[in-house]
Amino acid sequence: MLKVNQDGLLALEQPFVKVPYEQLKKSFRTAQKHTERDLASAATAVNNVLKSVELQESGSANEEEMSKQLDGAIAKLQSLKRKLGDVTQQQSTYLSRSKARLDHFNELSSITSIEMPEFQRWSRIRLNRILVDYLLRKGLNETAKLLAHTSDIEQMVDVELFAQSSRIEEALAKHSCTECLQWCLDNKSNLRKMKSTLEFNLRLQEFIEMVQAAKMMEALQYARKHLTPWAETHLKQIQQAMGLLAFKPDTQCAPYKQLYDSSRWNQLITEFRADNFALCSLTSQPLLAVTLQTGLSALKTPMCYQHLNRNINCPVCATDTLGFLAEKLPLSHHVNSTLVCRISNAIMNENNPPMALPNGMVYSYNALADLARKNDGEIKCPRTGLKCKFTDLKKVYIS
Amino acid sequence: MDKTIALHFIREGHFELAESFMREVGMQISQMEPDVYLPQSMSASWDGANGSEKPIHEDGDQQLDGAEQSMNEDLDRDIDMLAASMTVEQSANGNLQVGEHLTPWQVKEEFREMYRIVEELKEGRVTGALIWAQSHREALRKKESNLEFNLHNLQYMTYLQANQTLDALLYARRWFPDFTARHLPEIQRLLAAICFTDRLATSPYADLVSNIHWQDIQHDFTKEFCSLLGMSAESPLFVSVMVGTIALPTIIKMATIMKDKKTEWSQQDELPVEIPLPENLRYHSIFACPVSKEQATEENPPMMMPCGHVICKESLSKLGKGSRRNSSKFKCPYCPSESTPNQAVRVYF
Repeated sequence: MLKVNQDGLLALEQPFVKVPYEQLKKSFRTAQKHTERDLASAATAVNNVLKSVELQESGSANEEEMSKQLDGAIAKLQSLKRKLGDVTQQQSTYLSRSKARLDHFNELSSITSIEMPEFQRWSRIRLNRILVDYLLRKGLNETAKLLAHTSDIEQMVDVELFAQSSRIEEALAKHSCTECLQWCLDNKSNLRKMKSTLEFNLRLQEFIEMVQAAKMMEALQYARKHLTPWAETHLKQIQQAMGLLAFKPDTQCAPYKQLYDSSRWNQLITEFRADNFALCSLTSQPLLAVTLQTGLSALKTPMCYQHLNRNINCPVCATDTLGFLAEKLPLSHHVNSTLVCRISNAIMNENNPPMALPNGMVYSYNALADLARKNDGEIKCPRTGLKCKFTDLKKVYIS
Repeated sequence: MDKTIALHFIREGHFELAESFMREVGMQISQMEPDVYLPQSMSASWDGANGSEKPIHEDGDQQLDGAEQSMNEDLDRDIDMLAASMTVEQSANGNLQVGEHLTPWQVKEEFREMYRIVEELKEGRVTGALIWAQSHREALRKKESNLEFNLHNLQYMTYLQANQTLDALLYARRWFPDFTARHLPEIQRLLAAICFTDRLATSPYADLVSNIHWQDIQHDFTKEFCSLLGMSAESPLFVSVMVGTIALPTIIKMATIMKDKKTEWSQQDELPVEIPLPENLRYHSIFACPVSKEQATEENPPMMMPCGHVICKESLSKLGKGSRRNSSKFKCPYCPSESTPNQAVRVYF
């Protein structure tokens, strides 16, 4: 019986739990920020009113002014209430998502062996989950949504996250930095912690676009405002960027030709992707690809590519699909023998020992006995057609 | 990759998914080489059986007209694709016993049947599946499949849940006796559940009414159906990913250890650790020589000594060299019997 490596599996799934948790954290922070700001301003308003009341007692106050201030405070508090209402709703989705995911993992704790049907069920859900993840990463949103819906795992996938990121990527592909800059602003502190250079590169790109459009003054102002804050770390690049002012877009001078090149947009997209995944603690490779590679590698034997040794149940043996993918992967490693009967596909062991025909072909005892029973004690070898008696068989010991 | 996923969806019976997937991917793929996407043997072996075949990427354009008709066409096409992939698999498999005699046309009919039954199961009816299971009872029994019993089990529980206790009892008496040999404890449990009919959900038998059983039975059914047709029993993608799930923790652990010890993975073409796999996921015979611990290859094949013990050829000749001439005897490393290297015969697993 093979045990399930629960700790190892949980370690793999970190991003899966972390995504809603990070979202929850973020939304909590926004709520906190809103509350602090609006309450503070409301408090000042009330204080002002109180002061005016004191003044009024001394007989010199404006009632209209006071009611205006109070109204303002009330409106602020009402909008705060509305905002917080939205946030709570958001938070409860994140919470229910976290719960669904943790429940999903909790199922694992009751599964002890890989052979249990529960593990199959769990793996099936997991497969669907990482398939959705893969589809989303490839931008196949419709299919992803449909799959999440039909397999009832909407709580376990992050469709919005990818929807947002694909919106930004599309904008970048259309040579617009606005959305991405907004995203940078939203995640400013985290990006700074990661030492991300995405924002600088975006700014640089906008600058280049202006130079390209020959809006020199605008470009200069832009550089003063948005490039200079990065002087400490990116001085060289800023210098180079300013040098660009001296070159026309059709220049052949290598470094400046590169700056004008539109392939920089694709680099920006890649950089945004990497930063976004890192921020959500998602793996840079889709989990499906990683798992599939390991799985294929663990299954791959030299036999899989030998025509006569194929097994229909083996995924690697299907040469046109998974076998093709497995071609470049390493083979599995074995120090112990396992014999699989060619007739019954059963494992040969003490209870069902391997038996050799006179020509050296080995099959399991049970399968051969079955053949012999149907055919008066005579056996016909399925591979070579050799006929022999059951009594001619010889027991084989492999260790 | 895309093809694998598409086939996986079709196998699991999610046609609308496969549809939408192919449509979304199709935009990217049809610009590439269409042959990559089409199962190779499809156009060749197919035209004879079904004249109206069109390549898949062309079909995509026709989807827009006639919703219902295109629905049927889609289904047809999906089944075609699956069947085609199966014929590919089959033709790749020289030594296939089942399914060999089926023409592509018949295969297609079989799949249609399968999906019809799966639809029924989704709606909570077991009749179709039961009829199929009973007509293939012998083959299923040989495979030690529990399909038929599980189907009866579900039908019985349906009666119980609908409070038709008498029907349930009659049903149990009619069918369960056939299965006493293998399922006696389960039958006992099932019948004991009658005591709790009015509050099954809160009884100790709550697990019996779980909806999960209905999902499981669909998988069980497709599994048996496909394997009797001579196809892989589980979706290849599912198997690979499940194995990957099992293997990844081991690989990660190995990677960290290697990093700590600053060693490199020396043999690039082989994984450095053995991944323990459950028996039902073993598909090929692996012979590792008990003496040299190396895997047998064509150049270093397994050889059986007259006593029945098997070692690899290289180990055998090394043992033989211990004595002066090749014909001289040496002792088997595992038993007292003596033999010469010439007496050993090659075995094929």
